[in-house]
Amino acid sequence: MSQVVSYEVDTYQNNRWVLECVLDDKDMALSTAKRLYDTKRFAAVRIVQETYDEEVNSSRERVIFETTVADRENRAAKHSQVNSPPKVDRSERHPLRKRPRVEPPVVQKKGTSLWILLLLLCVIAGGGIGLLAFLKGL
Amino acid sequence: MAEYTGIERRLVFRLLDYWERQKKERSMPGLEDIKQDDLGDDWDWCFLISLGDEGENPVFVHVGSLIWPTERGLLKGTAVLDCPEPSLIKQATAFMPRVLKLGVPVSIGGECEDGGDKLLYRSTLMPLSSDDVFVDGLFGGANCRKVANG
Repeated sequence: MSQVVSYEVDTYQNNRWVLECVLDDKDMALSTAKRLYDTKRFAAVRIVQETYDEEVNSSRERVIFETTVADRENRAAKHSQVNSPPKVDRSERHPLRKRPRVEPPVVQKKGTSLWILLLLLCVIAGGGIGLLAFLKGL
Repeated sequence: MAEYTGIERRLVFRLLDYWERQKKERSMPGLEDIKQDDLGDDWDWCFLISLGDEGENPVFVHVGSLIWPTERGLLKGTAVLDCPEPSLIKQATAFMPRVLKLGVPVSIGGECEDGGDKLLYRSTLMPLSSDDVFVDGLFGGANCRKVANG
């Protein structure tokens, strides 16, 4: 079975594919496609592999390479990401902890308790004096 | 016999780039746009073909001395169909109908015989037009190296 393989390099212009050249070498076709794409004159570039079967006089075509403006923009974005300072992966972050509430310190009111003791002393002393006076009157 | 020192794809790329540059805003350059001074040493690996008004009897306008050594005789002005066989120049022009049909450059490589030597070659053939409508010329180039025997 005799088959002839060739590679067609197409560019996308004005909403249609335009044949630019035909090569019988895949690497050369890839280089040509990339060179054409790098000119930035075309929205997309592709390579169509054509396999011609001489015995049955028919050919098969399939796209083996295609690159578009979107691909270029994605590559540019990826490149700029690589060059920017590394960001911390969210998974590496520690979960936020709730700050514990700080209770205000309890101020001991020492003065108030002293007055209560004096008052109590006075009440006891007054009660004692009153009791003595009552006993003396009997 | 020319001294074939090497084979490289770069010649084909250089010629394709030159053809592309000479196009400017057109779909292909004209015969007058292909200049010896622009091509430097590559000129000797190149050839030019004029198809004439009807395109039925293409003749060589230029054949580089490294493709067809001058001691073999002059090919300039000779009909392409009359070029000797087997030879590198015959091989490099063999796919002329395909270029005329497609109207775009075609590059082919492979093995051929030339002056009793077996060669590995790579060639390209590019269409030319003086009115940007009809192909009336062809610009080609080829280089090669001898295949080692045994």
